[in-house]
Amino acid sequence: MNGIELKDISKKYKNVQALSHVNLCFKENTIYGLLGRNGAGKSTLLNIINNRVLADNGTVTLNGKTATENTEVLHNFFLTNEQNLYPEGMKVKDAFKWSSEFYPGFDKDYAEKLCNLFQLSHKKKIKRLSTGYQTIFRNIVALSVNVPYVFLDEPVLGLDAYHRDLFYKILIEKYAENPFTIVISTHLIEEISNVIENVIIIKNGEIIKNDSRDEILKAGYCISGISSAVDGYISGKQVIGTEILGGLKTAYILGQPETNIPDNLSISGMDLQKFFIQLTNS
Amino acid sequence: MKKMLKYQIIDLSKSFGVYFCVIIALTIAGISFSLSVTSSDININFNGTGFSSVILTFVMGICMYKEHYLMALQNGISRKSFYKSSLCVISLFCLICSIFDTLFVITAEFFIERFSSSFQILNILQLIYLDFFNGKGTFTMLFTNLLFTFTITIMSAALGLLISAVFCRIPKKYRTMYVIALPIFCCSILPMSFVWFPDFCSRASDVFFAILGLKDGAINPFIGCLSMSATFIILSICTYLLLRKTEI
Repeated sequence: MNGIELKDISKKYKNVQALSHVNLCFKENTIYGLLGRNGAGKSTLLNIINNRVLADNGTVTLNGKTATENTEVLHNFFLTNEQNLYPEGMKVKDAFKWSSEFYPGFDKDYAEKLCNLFQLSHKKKIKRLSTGYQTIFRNIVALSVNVPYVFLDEPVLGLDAYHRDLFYKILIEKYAENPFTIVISTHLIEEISNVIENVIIIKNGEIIKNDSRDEILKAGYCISGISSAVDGYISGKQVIGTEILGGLKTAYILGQPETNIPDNLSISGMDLQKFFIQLTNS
Repeated sequence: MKKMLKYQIIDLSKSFGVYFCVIIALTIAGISFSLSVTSSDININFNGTGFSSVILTFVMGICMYKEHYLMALQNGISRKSFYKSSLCVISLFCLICSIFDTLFVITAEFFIERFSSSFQILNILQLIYLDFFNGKGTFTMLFTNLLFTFTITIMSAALGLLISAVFCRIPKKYRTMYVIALPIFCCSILPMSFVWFPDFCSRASDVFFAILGLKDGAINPFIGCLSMSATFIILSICTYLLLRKTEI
């Protein structure tokens, strides 16, 4: 099969099972959202794919070739996360220069253009940049490397609303012009819900949902109203969670809604963030 | 591996360039000073520039692991490729250091012989194995100096790499203890052990001198070169065993 395939990946840190028998595929030219609560194993998963952390067992392959410790395969991947792995004394422009050496597809002009858009001075040293600008710098490199698989771990960490919006716009533009696989790991689910095509939800090191965003949103609905009416409606249905606010209750239900909904109840579509909260809370 | 090799060579060449400039400048300053003074009571000795190369390559080993390893992982270079590249870079720069040291001695002695009698330069080899060169020709001395400086610097770089590799592998909570304990052990406890355990240390130092080819009556720098080459190989193997499982 074409794409990245993870087979039976497990990783344990002392007493914590970070990942447990994870089987996953990342297809070509798709935008994935990797969602999970803190400590769910998202970063560990991305680090294992990118050979930064070694799995206790299992394999990572790209089009059938092992990725672990394979420079040839690893040059198809690019991961950015909150860690700055560039030398502390390195300037932004030098990082671009070396990125173009390591990744022949690196588009220096595009990187310069993004620097101007984000008002990032390429003469500055990376360590002198603020948290937000360090994130911007890493995102610019990730968007300019032109590799088939880009992994963005918390790509909007420390970014203000304007820069976050600009980043998502550029990401979509880039993807529309030249599709590639993007895996975004973030806690800001509402912001990326319109960007991602596929959703992977990870909980306690296990993949609990891996489906297209549209399928997930179609798979359920919300019903709201006074508590007693909602309780009456949901009996016998597959409820993944409820919220109570005053006398009002909202229930998140899997399945398709009935055609005859009582007048005192209102129905709405499933929201990705709410779906995530209910699924990971249960 | 070629890309990593290029990056490491360019990155380190700046530091080595500065180092060579400093050594040359200091030597020129020393010769100039010795030429400017007329008193015959003043003698200037410039000894063991090779030792500064040993320190430099040791620091290079430490820094290389920290910065270049992370850069390698960021840019999709496997640990094995990074290791191979690092060994090539270490060998290259140690060779440059030994050539520089040898050329430096030749050039400096050439000028000293002609212009200044109050300035003297002794290289690392002459300092340790002075007796070996009695009656030996200049070519033997230069070739031995080249080989000896190369082996001692490469061993030093491998030691730096290993110290850094251990640092990256040990749990974070023990790292501070490690960086404090290591110099204390090397600079205080190890020398003091000669006072605490004189018999044992005397025997250990006899073995140490023997493997360095400094045993009385059998002074031979080639034995030292062989021992240091073997040490380099052992240190490099240990570093690889640590490196292949190192995570960020």
